[in-house]
Amino acid sequence: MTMEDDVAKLAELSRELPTIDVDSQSAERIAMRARQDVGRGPSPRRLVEPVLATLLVGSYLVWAVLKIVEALG
Amino acid sequence: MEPDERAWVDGLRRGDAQAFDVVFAAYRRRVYGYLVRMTRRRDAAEDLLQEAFLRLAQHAKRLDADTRLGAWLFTVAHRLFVSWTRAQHVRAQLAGDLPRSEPPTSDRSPLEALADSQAQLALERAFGALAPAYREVALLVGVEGLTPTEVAGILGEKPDAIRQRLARARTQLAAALGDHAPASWRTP
Repeated sequence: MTMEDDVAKLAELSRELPTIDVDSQSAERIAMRARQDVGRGPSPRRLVEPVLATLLVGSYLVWAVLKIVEALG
Repeated sequence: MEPDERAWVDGLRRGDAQAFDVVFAAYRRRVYGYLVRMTRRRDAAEDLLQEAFLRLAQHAKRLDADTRLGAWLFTVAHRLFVSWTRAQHVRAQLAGDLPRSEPPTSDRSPLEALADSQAQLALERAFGALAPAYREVALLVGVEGLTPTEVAGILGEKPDAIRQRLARARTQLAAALGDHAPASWRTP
């Protein structure tokens, strides 16, 4: 059995599957929410977490380096 | 790439909300159908559908001019599904290693309730019984009409792996369907 056979048979079978759609109210809500963001780029709030993590790790590294320097000095 | 799709991508790149509406209308059923059949839950599928189209909206101006929207959206939907699955596993472990899936509360899942014939019901159940990795390939190729090469790109897999999954999905579907399998499936 070739891959083309598998593709053709699966396509044949899948035509029998019932159509599924999101209900119209939810679709409108999702579209409205997403439409507001078209072309705006990701929300700045998405940057907060990585910035905080970077600050935390960075400050810990600085503290560790200072401690090492202090111990050596 | 269809001429319409090129115009839609151009519109999205300009930040045109009407272009977004057209793309949403064109792809929402397909992406939602994929997500429902992968998560087996309508509420989760709705959440992931919203996230997929939010990402499209936010990424609109950075799309390449030759972006194939179907492949782009299914790539995002696949990644969202993978993240959702991981979150489900973590939640189950935190809850004391409970079973991954909720036990069925009735004979028919909401998805199966859509079936209006015994054959459709058997088919929906057969797809649902496939392992997610096989179901995903069967849906993307069989229902969505994507090529195995496109599916390999979406899933980040090698084409050979997709070919094997297709063959196994077909074999398992035939076994699960039994007498409900189309006549052409039963002939060698």
